[in-house]
Amino acid sequence: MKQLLNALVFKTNKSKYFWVLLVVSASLPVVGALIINLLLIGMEWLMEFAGTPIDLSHLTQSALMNFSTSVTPASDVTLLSVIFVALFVTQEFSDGTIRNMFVANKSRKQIFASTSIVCYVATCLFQLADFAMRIVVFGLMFGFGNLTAGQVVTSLLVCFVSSLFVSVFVSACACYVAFATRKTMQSVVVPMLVCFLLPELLSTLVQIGVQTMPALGNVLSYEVLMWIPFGNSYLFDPTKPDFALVAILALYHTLFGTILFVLGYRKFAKADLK
Amino acid sequence: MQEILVTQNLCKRYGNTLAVDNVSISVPQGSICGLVGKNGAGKTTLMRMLCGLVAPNQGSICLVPNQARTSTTVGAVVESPSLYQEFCAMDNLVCQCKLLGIPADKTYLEQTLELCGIGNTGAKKVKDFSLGMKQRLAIAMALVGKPQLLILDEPTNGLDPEGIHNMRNLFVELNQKLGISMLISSHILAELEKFATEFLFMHKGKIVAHVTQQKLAQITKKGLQFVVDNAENALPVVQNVGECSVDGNKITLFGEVDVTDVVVGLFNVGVRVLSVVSVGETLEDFFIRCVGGAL
Repeated sequence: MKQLLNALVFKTNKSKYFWVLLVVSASLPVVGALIINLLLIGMEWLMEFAGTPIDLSHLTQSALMNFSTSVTPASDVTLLSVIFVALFVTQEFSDGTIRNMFVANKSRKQIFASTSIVCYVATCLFQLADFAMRIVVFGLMFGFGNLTAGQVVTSLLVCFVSSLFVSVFVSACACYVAFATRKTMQSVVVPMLVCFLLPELLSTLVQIGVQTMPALGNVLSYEVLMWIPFGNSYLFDPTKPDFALVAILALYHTLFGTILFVLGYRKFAKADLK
Repeated sequence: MQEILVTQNLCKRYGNTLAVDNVSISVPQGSICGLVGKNGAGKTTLMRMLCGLVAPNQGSICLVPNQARTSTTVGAVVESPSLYQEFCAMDNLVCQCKLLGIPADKTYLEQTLELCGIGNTGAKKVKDFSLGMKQRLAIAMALVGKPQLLILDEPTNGLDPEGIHNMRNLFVELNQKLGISMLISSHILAELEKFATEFLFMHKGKIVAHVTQQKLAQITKKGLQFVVDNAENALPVVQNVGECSVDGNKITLFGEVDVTDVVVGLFNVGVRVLSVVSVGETLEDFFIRCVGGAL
């Protein structure tokens, strides 16, 4: 296992796409901040030009607002993570280098576990790069509002830890598809659909349900909604993190990540390889 | 003799096709075993099973019996070379060393690359290598852990004639100097015939014959055919040399024959030798005979 991890870390370190994706992860908050700033300035200018000036400063009163995506798989870092995992795993099959692991007397369990671990760590690094840059860029631009330093640190820690759970779940999802299909394109598209559409779909279904059946609205209180897997990520407020919700989110990401890990291994364990 | 590889009743089925059918083989330690068979005979499936890439439906595989298998016990090149295309040759070897858990000593790795004829490729990426270079690098990767058994599937694919010659010499050297046993499949039977010490003939998933080089020589009865002007007078001379057969004025002497001795002997009894040709079955002929001409 240690030998496999050594070889895979060496491969990651030598892979150009890993470093490119890491740099992109770190650059995205800068680009995002610029776009947000430009959009706000543009909107304020347009509204003023139209004779109905508006104040959008409430949107930028705290940099923490930009950490709401930390608990959802639908984020820009997810896309990068999925691309990395898809390339990392499927290249082993397309280049045939996975054969070397078998010849080196490594079991399927060891191969699957070590590849998954390296993918998890790499995607967590993307998350870390994105998170660190987000703190710097948005912190400098918008500040942290009226919150105390302690509250800011707590919120950021909660967001960061939650984002790591999300990263592991996204990696597990991408690993499952990559090991099952061994095709790069499918390994990018399918997890992306799951990560972006699933939370949206569940949230929309809840909204439709509440609108069509008002009685359901009474039942679907915050306490109930927070138990809807993936659909509950929209309830997260990074300025006032609800620890119960964060714990449920972490639980779901761990649970579904573990299920995908086990299913992925079972698929790989039975597969005939070329 | 101790075996390096033993399989018992190996079977692999893909749908309704039995790719490997009840294969039981034993490869002696220190031998170069040639696996011969036409396309679709099941050679690659068998090799994949030996490497653990494909799980058999039935049967067992024992690599290096009476010894715990480690990461460096076996080296293999199955089908296409398994290489990281974005890496240079040295990085591929370093990665392999890490996988095998052996130190990536640069001097040793350079020597290995040199041995396989791909020294001085520098930082050139594998994706820019020719097929022959990739094949050589794949063999270098298989050798880097100094394995006891090398499993090679069509190792000379993509090599030029000089490359094939060098590779053959390398295999013989590795076998004789380092005692590495080998299981090699090849379509180029004439090539295998030159250095393999054992032959496994595979047809429709089954092993139809397993013969040693010596036995093959006996079976194929190689010899020299002398065309003479007087077979009657020549007969007493050739009968003293060894096993022979006569067909008109054609006399065939089997086994190792010294041409000069025979020609001088015949000349001394007044028989003129009109021509001398080498006769006997080739490995290819024997293979065709084994599979019942079903090619």
